[in-house]
Amino acid sequence: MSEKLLSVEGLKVYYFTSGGTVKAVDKVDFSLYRGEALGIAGESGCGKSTLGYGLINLVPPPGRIVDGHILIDNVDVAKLNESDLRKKVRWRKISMVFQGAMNALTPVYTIGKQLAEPLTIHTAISYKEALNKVQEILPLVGLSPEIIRRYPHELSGGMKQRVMIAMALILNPDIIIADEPTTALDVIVQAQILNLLKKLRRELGVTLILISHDLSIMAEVVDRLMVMYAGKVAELGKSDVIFSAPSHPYTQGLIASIPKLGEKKLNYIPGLPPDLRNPPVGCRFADRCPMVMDICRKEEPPFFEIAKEHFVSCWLYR
Amino acid sequence: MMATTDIKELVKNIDQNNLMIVRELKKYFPIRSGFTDFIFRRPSRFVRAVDNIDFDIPKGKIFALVGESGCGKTTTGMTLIRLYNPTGGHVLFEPKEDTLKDLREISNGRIMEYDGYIDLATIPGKWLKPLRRDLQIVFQDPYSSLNPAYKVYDILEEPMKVHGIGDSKDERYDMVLKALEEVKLVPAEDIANRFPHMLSGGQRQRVVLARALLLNPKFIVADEPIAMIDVSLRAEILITLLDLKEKHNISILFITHDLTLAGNISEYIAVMYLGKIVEMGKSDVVIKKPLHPYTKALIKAIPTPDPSMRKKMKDIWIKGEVSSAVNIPEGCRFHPRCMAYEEHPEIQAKCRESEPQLIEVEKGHYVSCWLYK
Ligand SMILES: Nc1ncnc2c1ncn2[C@@H]1O[C@H](COP(=O)(O)OP(=O)(O)OP(=O)(O)O)[C@@H](O)[C@H]1O
Ligand SMILES: Nc1ncnc2c1ncn2[C@@H]1O[C@H](COP(=O)(O)OP(=O)(O)OP(=O)(O)O)[C@@H](O)[C@H]1O
Ligand code: SF4
Ligand SMILES: [Mg+2]
Ligand SMILES: [Mg+2]
Repeated sequence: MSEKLLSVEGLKVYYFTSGGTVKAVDKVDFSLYRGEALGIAGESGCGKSTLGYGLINLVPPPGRIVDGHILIDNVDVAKLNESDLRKKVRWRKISMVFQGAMNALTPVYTIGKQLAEPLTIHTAISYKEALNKVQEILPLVGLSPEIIRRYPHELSGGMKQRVMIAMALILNPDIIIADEPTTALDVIVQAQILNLLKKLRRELGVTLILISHDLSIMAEVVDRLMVMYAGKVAELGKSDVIFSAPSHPYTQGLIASIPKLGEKKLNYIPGLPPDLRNPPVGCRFADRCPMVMDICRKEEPPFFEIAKEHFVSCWLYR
Repeated sequence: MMATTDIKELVKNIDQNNLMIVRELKKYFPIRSGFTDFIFRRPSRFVRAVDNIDFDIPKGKIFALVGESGCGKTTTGMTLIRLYNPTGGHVLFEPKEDTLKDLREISNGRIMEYDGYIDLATIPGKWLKPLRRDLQIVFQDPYSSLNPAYKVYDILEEPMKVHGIGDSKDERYDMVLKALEEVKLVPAEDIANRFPHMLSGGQRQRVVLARALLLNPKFIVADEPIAMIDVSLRAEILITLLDLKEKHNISILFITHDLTLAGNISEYIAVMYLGKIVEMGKSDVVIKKPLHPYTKALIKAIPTPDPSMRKKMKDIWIKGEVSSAVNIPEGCRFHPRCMAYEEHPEIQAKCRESEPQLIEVEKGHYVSCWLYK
């Protein structure tokens, strides 16, 4: 494989709430290679967004990175101070399209102001500079620069999401994290946004991390897939392989539950994910796993490399 | 399907297989006109959210209404069950016998009955109360549709009190437990004593379903009931919904923007575009043999869970952005976005100038497009 852009080792991101510590991301390891698209999938609440926030070191309180390394160009993003993050990393090396951000645009300010301002907060560029960059980048996502003078209610959902993607591109980062970029959108607009992401990869060579609970859109975009369950990585490998022959029982359940056009069959994984304040010892999927064995409830399964670059955290593969 | 304005014509031969017979249904929302409109004497303008639609909902079946955001799905559902007053049209509905009795009573015998059916669209608002039990709606967002300050038990008991169901507190308590068991929320006693925040999204959505069921409805509008819910929980709720439909012989108007989902659970599908039904038929037929260019575009856009597709751009068989329901294009309202229009110069004049009707091109398969005329 090509050059490693990012490597994550033993990353833990916890939320410290009055009700207990939510272990949202709990010892996650993976690497990202230049030019690829990596998908992060899993059920609601499994820690996908939290992992994304961790990678740009922008975890909302009461959360923080408690352990681990995030290496980009030999710099550990997990250890950098805020000022260095702003100057060197965020939006320059790695940026993020936040989940639901398109719906969080406030109705009273222009698009331009709302795009440029966060940049001045999270990075070290000036407002004017940010606004100029915004205008330069808009055509890349299929929007006209004059849009900066418009208000959110004048834009359709698809246009708003393009605006959010433009914002992530502004400082020409190597890596973009897109967190559920199409979830609230109609199917046609969703297809347009996925095409846009493909175009950006092809034309700008962007390396993409796509976060979604929807495996069908993953299949349309990503080269490798990482399936998370309850704060941990359950399976990681080439998406061709995972879609045709999933190995972790959780991945198998997820893939079997993908609704298919023109079929009446409905499948699902019975049960609920564990409470992340108090995850079970052993395998976190044990309670819902059709293949559960004694060892699963006692000891946490390590990562088994069952084929080259195909990792599964499950005792079936010991 | 012939449109009939005259109720007398419409009720001459009612097909008793249908629970609802909807004709020429319209719902226009006025747009508040500004001062300049007043000065220049501009006519008042409307959002034509539901613009003259016809369809039948068979008894005990799921009828899915599919289309993009803003095409009028929710407005249709709300207008059918008189949460909105229709601007025009008829909705024949066969209430339960008890409901009909109550209707006669409340109206002093003035309610118009047609072989056990009534016209929901035209009955006076003050007679609607008994019908509320028969007609239920389940909204898309399980987070906002349950009052966080009440326990599940109180949430479920409230509508029973309103409708005078259950004679005593004990009887109502038993009914609540039974309803919770029906939607597989067990142990029911435990769940009944929880607050909504102590339940998962899927469990909350099932509480919402239980609340609708307690009134023993004949018809449920399920408005994107699982849009907010995870894939794995989705199927669980849908299966619950299907079981309940079978068991109680309920008809459901299932509203979704997801054609895959519509195909998974419904017997019939109507595809809506800008306030109009553009295609309608048995779900398998609409999905496997779509005729209208808009339906085709929707189907092509559906992501395929096949990673070999990822190197290619998805073929998007539609142009532009959705038009506004205030300025509906002349002729076929879809023509500015239609790819078939591009490919068929011979019909372009017609597409631009006159509106295609919903016609039956094959038995039970309706489409409104000049390609099929
Ligand atoms: N600010 C917070 N305070 C406390 N707990 C939080 C906070 N944000 C998230 N969590 C918890 O952390 C876990 C992971 O949440 P996260 O948002 O990362 O999940 P996700 O996989 O992105 O889910 P979704 O698919 O619903 O977006 C969940 O259990 C969630 O309840
Ligand atoms: N109460 C209202 N007053 C004015 N206009 C309305 C009202 N409700 C809906 N509309 C308009 O009517 C049209 C249809 O809206 P509706 O909510 O029925 O669409 P929908 O198909 O349910 O969309 P979605 O998928 O986003 O829920 C839209 O143009 C909408 O803006
Ligand atoms: S009538 Fe014309 S414009 Fe309308 S859908 Fe058919 S071909 Fe397209
Ligand atoms: Mg998330
Ligand atoms: Mg709606």
